[in-house]
Amino acid sequence: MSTSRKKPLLVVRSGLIIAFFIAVQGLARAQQADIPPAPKESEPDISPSERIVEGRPDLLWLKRSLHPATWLGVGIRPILHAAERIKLDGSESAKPTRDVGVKFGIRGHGQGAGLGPEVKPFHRNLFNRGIQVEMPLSVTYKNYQLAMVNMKVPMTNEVDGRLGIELTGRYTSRPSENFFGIGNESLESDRSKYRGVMREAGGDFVTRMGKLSLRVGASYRSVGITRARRYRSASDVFRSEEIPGLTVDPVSTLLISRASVEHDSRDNKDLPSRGGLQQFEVRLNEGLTGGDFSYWQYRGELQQFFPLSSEGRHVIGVRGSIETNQAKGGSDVPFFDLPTIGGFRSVRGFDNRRFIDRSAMNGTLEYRYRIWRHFDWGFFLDAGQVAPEIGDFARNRLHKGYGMRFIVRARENRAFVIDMARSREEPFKLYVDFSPFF
Amino acid sequence: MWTSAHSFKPMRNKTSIVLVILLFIGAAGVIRAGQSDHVIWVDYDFRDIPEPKERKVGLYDSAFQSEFVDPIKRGTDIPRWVRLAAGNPKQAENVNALDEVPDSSWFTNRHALRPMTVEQLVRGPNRGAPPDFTNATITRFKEEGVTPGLQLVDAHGEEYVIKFDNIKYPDLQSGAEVISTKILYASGYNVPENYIAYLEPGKLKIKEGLETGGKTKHPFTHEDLTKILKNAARKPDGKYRVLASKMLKGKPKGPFSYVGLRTDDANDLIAHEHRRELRGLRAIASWINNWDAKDGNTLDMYVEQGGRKFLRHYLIDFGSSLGGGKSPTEYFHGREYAFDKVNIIKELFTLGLVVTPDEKSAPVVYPEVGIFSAEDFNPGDWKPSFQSVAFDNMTREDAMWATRVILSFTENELLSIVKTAEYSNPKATEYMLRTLIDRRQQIATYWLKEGSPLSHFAVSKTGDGTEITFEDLLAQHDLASGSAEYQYETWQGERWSQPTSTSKRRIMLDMTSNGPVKVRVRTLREHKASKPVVITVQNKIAGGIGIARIERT
Repeated sequence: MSTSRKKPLLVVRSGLIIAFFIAVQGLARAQQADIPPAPKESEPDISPSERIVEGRPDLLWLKRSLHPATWLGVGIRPILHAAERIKLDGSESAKPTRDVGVKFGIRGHGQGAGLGPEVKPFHRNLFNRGIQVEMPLSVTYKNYQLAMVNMKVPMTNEVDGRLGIELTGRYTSRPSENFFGIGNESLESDRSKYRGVMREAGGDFVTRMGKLSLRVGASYRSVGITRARRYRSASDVFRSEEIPGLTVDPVSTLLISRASVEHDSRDNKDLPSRGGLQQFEVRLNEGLTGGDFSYWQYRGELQQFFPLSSEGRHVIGVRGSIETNQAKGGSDVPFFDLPTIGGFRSVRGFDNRRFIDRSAMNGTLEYRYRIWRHFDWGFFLDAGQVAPEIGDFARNRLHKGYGMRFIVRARENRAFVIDMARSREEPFKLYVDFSPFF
Repeated sequence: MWTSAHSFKPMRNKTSIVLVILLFIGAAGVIRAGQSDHVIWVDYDFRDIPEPKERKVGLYDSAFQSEFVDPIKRGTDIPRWVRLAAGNPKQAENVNALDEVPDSSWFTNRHALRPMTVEQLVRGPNRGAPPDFTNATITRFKEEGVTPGLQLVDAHGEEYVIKFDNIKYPDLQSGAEVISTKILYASGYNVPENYIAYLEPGKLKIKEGLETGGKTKHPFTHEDLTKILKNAARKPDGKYRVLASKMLKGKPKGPFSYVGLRTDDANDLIAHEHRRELRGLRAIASWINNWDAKDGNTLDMYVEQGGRKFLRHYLIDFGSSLGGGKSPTEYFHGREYAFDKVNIIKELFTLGLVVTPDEKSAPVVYPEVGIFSAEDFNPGDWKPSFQSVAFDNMTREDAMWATRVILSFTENELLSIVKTAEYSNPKATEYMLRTLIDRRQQIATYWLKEGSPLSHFAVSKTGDGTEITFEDLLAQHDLASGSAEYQYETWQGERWSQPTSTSKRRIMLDMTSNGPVKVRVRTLREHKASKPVVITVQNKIAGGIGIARIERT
């Protein structure tokens, strides 16, 4: 009974409270309408009040989570976070330089060899005599292998080592090198592969005088040519007697003597915008075993860069290189040491090592311009040819390629390049290069 | 059971009467409030919330999201394009009936609405005693980079982050940081307490156990300190002039984002890109060329106040503003994005022949100021380093709000603020002041001519009736030549009255009816009419008269 009596009372009191609340709210609102804000210089005098919006926007999260760009972000985010952690941006350069350590990186092994991890133990001041030693070890995803020891022994106390000795030991295994036969008209349909294993040990005496450097040295080299594992082998396509070096005897050994002179006035070795490079090298190769090889090699390289603006944002670059091999007496030049054209170091748009002969020449004309602080864009024209002798070169025998290049300028002017090229043989060829030479 | 209704009938009658009266009053109030478009001056986002997780930002947030993810989302936002095509962009959501931003954990109305004294402007956010670094203790240090950094505990036990100026550019970074701090604080933003201070490294103590040397660790010594300070600027007396930034109160919870909401903050109801103070910050940042306004230069602090714990949102790190930085700001900052896709495409397709800001440079007028000038400054085209959805969303209305904030500083007030940078070269002070004023004038001219220059509306009853007064910011700040006419109409039931023109900034109203009266005012200058402002005036319940609504379109 008492409950039932209290019910209407409760209802009325509740109504009163609600009405009072509404009245107070209504009055408060009406009075607040144009009350200027109270001066609050220090911390705001916070008193509970209302919000300017009722709640969060409807379906905001659903709309955002359904958007494909959100998925893109979700996919990229962990990659960028990981990149920040391992500092791929090279920010380690801010750390003090260490004399001893191990560097980890990614390395390419030249044309068509792919990329792979590299471990490089180093010592920059061995025996406290400024001797620099490094031992890069690397394998690419295509199973190209490299193991190397480099030692630079300064002979003066100067930091840049005007006089010094450089000692090198190297092992490389290249399991799938292109071979199309010898000659400027070799057929694309004759494509074959071979595996080359090379071991080399040698030393050079180096002297530098400003932009000029001279190098004299010798090395011992053994080269083994065997069948490629996953493609038709060169020895199945070509007769070994027609191709010097493609013999049943798997190892050729050579003793090499060399001398070179170089003048380098480029403002930067990786992405020059002015200056030039002139190189000339002569080598005498004497075969010891595995074939009658005895020959002279002559190589010349010329690069010149012409800035069209003061900051080098627009640059015209020209490059030319030439090489010829002269056999001594009745000797031969092994095919694995012949100059080639085709690939990103000569005529882009053709397969790597597409043409091969005793002599080769190629040239490049390039216009490169800055499109962003860290990006360059460029257009290039390559042309080259091979021939038995330099005198056989002719304008109508040139192979031509052309294309565009996208250059990422990383820290300290290091570059990463993507070249897109085409030629009469290939409509589109893509090259990625972490250490562009031009 | 209502069997004994008789017994409480009198009470019920009285109650009913009270109830009806209260409901009537309440309803009337609500109706009036509805009519008057209730003005909210505090958006109460200070409610107690559970402690949020710390938000981490990095390369993704500062670069990839702002440069790729957000632009893709905006580009594919069809309703947004439709609104833009119709000339009706989405307006900021936290705007009250008087076209102002209410106070919140993000923003506090200061100089523009509640004029501060010169002393208050000079003090800025700084509270209590300035830092006392005599015998201060080094608790942390940063040795990488162009300029080093320290963390100190001063004689009062307060923690400070210490930034040094580059030896080549004394006063540059610290001066910029202090001036921008004061300007942003007076504008209404939450900023840290930043002081110019002077250090004698030899007198600093080193916290026990502090080590350096990477893998070959050894105790951090004064010799190590001398080494890391080798590139820091010092005064002729050997002291280091530094920027001392007091650690903010509360627990740091990472930067806020200029887009979206913080899911673990129940107080966060408005998508940040639709907050007017963040949209309008673009215009204010353009004034001081704070091109480095990005997520990474903000900070949410979990603070306790009045027994409640909530997030307060701060802007931090203004050392790159005003032409400053470790080195003078590069020319392109403020003129193009760090990754400016449009300019990249222009360069690409013109074979590099087009000249973008990246290719230009400007002279360093004074080492203390760096590269900061009013020449070649286009307020409408100003860009932060990283694209920001909030900045991109800035509408004309947001920009006009920010312009009113910017114009609230007088020349004398700005001079007082600039002097807090304590530039050793008086010419740098003069140059900084002149540049700030020139840029301010350019911003005001640009944005006010886009909209309406009318501001500071007030309504009062005079002997002649009801009067609306206002100010013309273009005229007040000498930004327009020639005289102006003000054309106004009043809403009379179903239609606007015939336009009336006056050269006075005063409009008389007929307020004989009880209902609200709308007045639409345009400025006529050089035969051009500005966008209108509509003011709704109404009688107050408590008596008197007031402005219930201001609409700028």
